[in-house]
Amino acid sequence: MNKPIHIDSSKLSNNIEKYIKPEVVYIPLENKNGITYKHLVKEGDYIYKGQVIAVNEKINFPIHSSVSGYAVCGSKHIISNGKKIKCVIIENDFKEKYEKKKLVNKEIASYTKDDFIESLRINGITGLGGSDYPTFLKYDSDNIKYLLINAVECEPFICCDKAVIYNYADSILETIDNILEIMKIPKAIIVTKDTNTSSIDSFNKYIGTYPNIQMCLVEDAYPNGWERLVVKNALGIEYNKYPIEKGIVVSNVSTIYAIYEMLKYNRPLTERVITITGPGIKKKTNVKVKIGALASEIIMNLDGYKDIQNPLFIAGGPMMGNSMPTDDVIITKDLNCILVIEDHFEKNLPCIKCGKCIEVCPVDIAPVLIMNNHDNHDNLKNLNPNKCIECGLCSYICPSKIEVREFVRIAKEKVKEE
Amino acid sequence: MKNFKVRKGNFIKSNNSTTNMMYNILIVLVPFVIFATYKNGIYPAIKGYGNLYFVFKPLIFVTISSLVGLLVEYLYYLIKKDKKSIYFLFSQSYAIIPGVFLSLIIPINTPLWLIILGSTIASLSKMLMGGFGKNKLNPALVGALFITIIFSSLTGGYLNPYEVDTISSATPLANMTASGYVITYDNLVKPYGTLLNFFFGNIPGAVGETSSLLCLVAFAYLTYKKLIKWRIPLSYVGTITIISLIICLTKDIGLWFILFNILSGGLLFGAVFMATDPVTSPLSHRGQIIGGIILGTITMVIRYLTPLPEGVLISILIFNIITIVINYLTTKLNNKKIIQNIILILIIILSMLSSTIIENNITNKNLDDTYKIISKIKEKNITTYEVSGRGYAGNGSIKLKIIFTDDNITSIDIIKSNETYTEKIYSNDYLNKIIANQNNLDNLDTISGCTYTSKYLKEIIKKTEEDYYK
Repeated sequence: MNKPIHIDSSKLSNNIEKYIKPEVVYIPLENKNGITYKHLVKEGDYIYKGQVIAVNEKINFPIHSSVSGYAVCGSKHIISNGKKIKCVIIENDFKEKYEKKKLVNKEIASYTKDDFIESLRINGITGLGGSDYPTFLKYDSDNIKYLLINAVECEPFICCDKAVIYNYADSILETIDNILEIMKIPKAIIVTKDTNTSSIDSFNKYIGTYPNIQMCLVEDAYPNGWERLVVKNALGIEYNKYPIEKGIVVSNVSTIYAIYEMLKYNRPLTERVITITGPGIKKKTNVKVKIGALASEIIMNLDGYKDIQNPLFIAGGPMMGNSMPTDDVIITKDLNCILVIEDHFEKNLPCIKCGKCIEVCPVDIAPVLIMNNHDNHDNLKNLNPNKCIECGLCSYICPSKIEVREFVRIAKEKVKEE
Repeated sequence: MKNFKVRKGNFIKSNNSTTNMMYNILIVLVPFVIFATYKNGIYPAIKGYGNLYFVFKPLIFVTISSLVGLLVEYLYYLIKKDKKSIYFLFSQSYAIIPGVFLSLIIPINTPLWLIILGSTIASLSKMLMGGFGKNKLNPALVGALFITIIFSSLTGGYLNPYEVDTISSATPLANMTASGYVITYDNLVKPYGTLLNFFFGNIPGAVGETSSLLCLVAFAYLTYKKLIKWRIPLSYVGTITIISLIICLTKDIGLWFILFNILSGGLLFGAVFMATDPVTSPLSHRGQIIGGIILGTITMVIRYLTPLPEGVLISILIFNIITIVINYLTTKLNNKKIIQNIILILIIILSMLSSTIIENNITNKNLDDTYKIISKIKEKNITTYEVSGRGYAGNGSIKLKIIFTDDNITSIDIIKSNETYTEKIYSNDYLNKIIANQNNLDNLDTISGCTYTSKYLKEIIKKTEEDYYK
């Protein structure tokens, strides 16, 4: 496997701003992976905070409202993959009214494994690292040997996990310990970057009281936060498709904090911390926001934009994110960063076949060959574009500034179509 | 709400830049031009050879050759009705680069019109294959191929005025070919001093490629800066080393032979600058290593199995073509590592096989080919032979006058000898020993310290005896 690459980026303070009073929230009925939700409310309904407003019928997985108020006529809005999706729209009445509690607060010690998994499901906990994969499916397994906490956050600019750790390290450790207890997992390992001194210090303050939790430091290099590399670096284990094959569960550190709030308040996931940064933003910061708020509203409340040439609005990090046509982007559970950056688009030069993209590819495919064979279907299949994780290192490293990854993406689609 | 431009791709880029890569490599070539000026112009001038023209010759070569390249590409685009600015030619087509390389790998006595022709062919080959990034062959080498192979008789040779006077033979490899592949230190290295001269580049060769020292420094710099595919030169030179080592061990040749192979014929320059040209070399790491092995094998085959003396240029061109195959195989067999390993092993076996063929070729030269009776005069009972034969220094390096009186050899005179240790023959009184043992030459010991010369002497006498008694 090729060595990950260090990419420099500016660091933000660990302070978390709050903007949890959006005027309107939008709940899209399809997530970025194309999984659709069926809505359960109609126009004019009064919706309580935490009420289930749509459900993924296949796995019975709900989405909740993050505010209380009346549902209004739905329209299409953009989500983090750039697609326009039909939404349920709720006008916030700022009352934060909860539905009458059906479940009373439960002692953490009394949770059984099944209770815990059920709770993950009904509270709509998903992977906050960007996968948007329902967490209860991950934990629904017997014989888990290791719980890995992914706190690597390797993509440049993104630092919301770092801020969460700095502010809530004790709660996170406590939750990890609870999960170990409930799920009967013998050991947890927190994986973080060796340059992330604030996170290391925060954890070190409390970790002494938890003998089953260890820390593992990895190099500050991209894409070290990729699940496969986290597992490999922490345990030296390689797996075929999912880490659960080897009895490993990997959870993002922000997901653990969401589980903390779930266990403590028995409330669904309605807020998350997101990094808003880039040269085009006046006040670069991590901010706690409601799921379903619009990015434009948040940024306007954070002093707005700086004037830069050719600004691009990116949902996600600079490597894997998508450029958006407008700043009216819905904050979904998987969105961890908003980046406003100058368009560094340089006219690309001819490919000189230097092979640098092959050198950096973390999945050992040959992007340049995929690019050169983009119209040769048989060759494409042999080149395994489906292995691509779209990390973008090939486009990053290319001396001729060719967007190699886009060719691989198209090839991936082509091969998948068969 | 605010609208933004949409762009596909990722949004931060590394500092790598093709333009930087290309011009960095050009900057690395500056010391080579300076060295060429010193070696071909200044040093001969100090020694009293040549004139001012020779001092500026390398610079004139580089200028003319690169300007011609620029002009050809400009006209090419003009004819294709796709006029490009000069800025485009510098920043996106890198039009001067083939010319600069070409000027460094041709003989110093190449007439200017031939350089113009060569540079035209180089640039045309690049443009006709689709322009920068699409060419399948290294343009500079295509141009050099025309100059040094097809017009070789018109180039005027590799020797600068000083070398013409002090070193009679041509380049080390041409000398080896001309002297019939006699692999001895005296034959291959002695005429040029020591191997240190090879290392510093003080030997006859193309304009700017002789200094192995500069090549090594350039290699270290370019590898450190990640500007070249360093695996190719390493596996190339490694293969040359292994094949030479096999020849050394099996044929009892000193290890100097390995260095001779690496340091002569512009091999290091080719390995560092030509074989690593990104556009025409394999993409994957494995492909680069396999490519280097193939390249090394071809170079040795050309040097020792064909009449062509300089193997580097042609073997890199062949390697360029094989690159297409290697890249194609990588396409077909990506991740089928077993098959790739089998290919790797096959290549290693092939290179070993070829090395054995090469060493047989070196030593199985029959002495009959070189023995020649120049004159035979018979007067009564006295027969006088003038014969020449093979010596340690090559074919016809020994010329003898042998007189038979009454069916016995009575006198042997050395008329001419290119042998290094001729005086040892005299000091050992070896000629008289031969006369004394003329009926039993097989039992006469050779002289230690000049084994070969004494051995070859006996062979010549034996052949002459055979002729006499016929």
